[in-house]
Amino acid sequence: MAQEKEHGFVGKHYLMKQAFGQEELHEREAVCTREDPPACMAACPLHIDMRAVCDHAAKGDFKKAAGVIRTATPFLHLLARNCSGTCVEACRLSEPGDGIALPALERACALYGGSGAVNRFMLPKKSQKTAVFGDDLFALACAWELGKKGYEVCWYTACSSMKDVLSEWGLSEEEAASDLTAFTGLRITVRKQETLLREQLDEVCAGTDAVCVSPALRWGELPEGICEAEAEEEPERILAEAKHASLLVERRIQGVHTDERREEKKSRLFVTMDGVKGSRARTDVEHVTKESAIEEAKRCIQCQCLECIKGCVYLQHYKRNPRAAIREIYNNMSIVMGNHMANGMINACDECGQCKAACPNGFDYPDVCRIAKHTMVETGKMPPSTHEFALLDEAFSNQEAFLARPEPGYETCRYLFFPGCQASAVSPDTVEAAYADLRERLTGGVGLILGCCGAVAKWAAREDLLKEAMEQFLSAWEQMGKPVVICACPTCQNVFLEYTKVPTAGVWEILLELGVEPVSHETVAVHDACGARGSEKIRQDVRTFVETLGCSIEEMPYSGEQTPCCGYGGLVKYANPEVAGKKADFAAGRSDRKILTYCMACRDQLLRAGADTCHILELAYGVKPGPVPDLSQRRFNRLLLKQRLLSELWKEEYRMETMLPVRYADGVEALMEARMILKSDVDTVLKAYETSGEAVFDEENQWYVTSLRLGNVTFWVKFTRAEEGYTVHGAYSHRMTVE
Amino acid sequence: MAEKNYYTIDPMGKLTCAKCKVALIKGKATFGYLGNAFPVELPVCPSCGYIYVPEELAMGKVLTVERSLEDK
Repeated sequence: MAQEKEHGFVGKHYLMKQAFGQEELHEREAVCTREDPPACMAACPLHIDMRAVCDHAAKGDFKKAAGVIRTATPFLHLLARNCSGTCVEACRLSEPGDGIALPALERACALYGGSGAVNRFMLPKKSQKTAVFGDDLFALACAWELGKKGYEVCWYTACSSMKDVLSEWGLSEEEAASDLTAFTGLRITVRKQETLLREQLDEVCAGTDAVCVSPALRWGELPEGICEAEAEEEPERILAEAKHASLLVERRIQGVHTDERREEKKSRLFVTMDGVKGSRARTDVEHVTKESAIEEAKRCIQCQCLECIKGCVYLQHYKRNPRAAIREIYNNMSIVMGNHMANGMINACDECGQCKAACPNGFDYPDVCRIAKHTMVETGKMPPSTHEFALLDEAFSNQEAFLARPEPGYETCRYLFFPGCQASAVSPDTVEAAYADLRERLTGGVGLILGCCGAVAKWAAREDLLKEAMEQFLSAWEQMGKPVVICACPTCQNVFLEYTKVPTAGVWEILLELGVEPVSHETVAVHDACGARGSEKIRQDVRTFVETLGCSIEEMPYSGEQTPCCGYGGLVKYANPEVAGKKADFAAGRSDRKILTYCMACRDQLLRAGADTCHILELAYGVKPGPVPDLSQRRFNRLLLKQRLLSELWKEEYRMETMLPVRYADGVEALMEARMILKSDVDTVLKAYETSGEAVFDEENQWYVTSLRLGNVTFWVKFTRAEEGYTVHGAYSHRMTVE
Repeated sequence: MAEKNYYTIDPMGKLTCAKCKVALIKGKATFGYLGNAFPVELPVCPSCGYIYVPEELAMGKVLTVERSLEDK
């Protein structure tokens, strides 16, 4: 399926990689049913877009509504009087109540939709000649269809006029004239005959390129090359047959011989009827008025599938549906030169899988984003600034803040506690309490690894760094005697399951086995982690854990498999803070109750959004959630935890680097947080200044400004210096080099 | 024809090099990112060559250009 192409233009330094071909794009698009017609339109033999008719009619715009019908057929008045309304039964509203009285709306369009005299877009005239035999609606409609296609049409008929055909269907003189305005300008010649004779066929066939015969003539088997049609009763079916017959004529002229029959296709469009109440029709064909038609049209629920978009703030933010978005992403991947307009959109997807879970067909949008991210990394097109901060944070977790030790007194352990980088950063006290509890109640030794599982590298599509993290973890795990890894975060657990064969367990699962004491009688809500989307067991275990703690659970909208991401997933918090903030607000706004999480990143994000929230372990161990730590504090917390545990449990001394005494002027810390500048960056810049003395004195503000290039970023610090230390008045950075 | 400059800042005598104790002057500098180079005129120390990038420039135009180059 995947059609891989790789082109390397070494001379020009262009590297392009097509992750998948058009065929796969179409296959992926076809999973989404949003572009399938609504049930009424699919049921209509003429496929009239009655959803659009209702939309215009509900606004009182019958001219536009009539226009929708006239794009399918000019015979609006004919339908208004005679349509059998097969669409009404198909209307989804017919399940809980009455289907929309669509024939009544057709009638209203005929009554209030104007004359129908529109400037029709005409196809260029074609040189081929066609002929139509018949005295009925089929022949009239067929002549119009062929005339509209640009062919010269000879209509052989015994009718005295076109109007006669329509008056047989009960149309008044004016109504027939209105429907026939569409014939103006078409090259249709009426060849009136006394009686239509089958014998004429051979002669006519010789002088024309294609001939169509009305089934009402009942001429039996026709010579080869003449288009036949099915005899129908209902006018809409007759018109549909005429449309189909004209299509066959055109194909025959083009040399594509086909006898394909007209098929009525079923729509796959998914429409949820949750919350839709049934109601009675407000009008019918006999009694329709403008007002009652508007009321009736307003009952239409405008069938469409929005399952993926309803709960996804990201798709709402970008005003996209996944089907359209994957085409944009495909095009984005195909560009060799020019702007990659979809980069931002790709990197703002948290890959949480909520949309896939919500889609009735499992449209896998996150997979396309994942593929795109990998392609961008492989071709060097990933914007360097997008994930760098997060990747440096992972490096910090797995270098300076990394700790791997078997339990004191053991060389190898039966268990290994892996709290995850977020727990150590957000609530180190919880990690300490949980580790103490596990050591006390589990036998066989419980080792500890403080570090990152590699999820950050995985989200950033950095296979190389993921492999590095995994090797580091596996080496420590093996040294501890291949213990069972107790994860405090479902994402870590997922990463281990996906990339290793280590046995894992959720901390909630182990604690349930060991026994949990009730600590609360609150009614709470549970925010499920993205990492648990694929695991009903984890979600259920956590709920049992929460109930054993004494809480009652009130489920929130969009919970379980369809839980929205908190905004941390996919590193969106760093790649697109605006979208991450909106996601957190949406996730936090689903309940007024205390929201319990089982991922510390979720807890942090929800607290930032102002929710009353805590991690299940914070609740279990009575750790009061502290204020939201800033980026610098998150790093400091990890180091502090490592220092404390090393000193208390392993009696090892760990010295953190001493920082210069710095005071931050009002608002500077918030500014640094928004700009992702760490206090340790400021410290390094000031220390470099102390050595080099390089700075600029700004006379206007009476402060110094110094700079230092750290990795790919130049940091600038505005400061004043006094005896007690530095006061920082501002900090900023840029990635460009300057020389 | 004069060489094109993408940006010009004149220190107007309000900035001094802390190391050399001399006023910064308007001097030539080049911003570079992802293989692109942009000649500019920035406050530069005439003695040690230290180049000053003001906050408005770094967080304004430089940031915008960085982002657009990253999406090329």
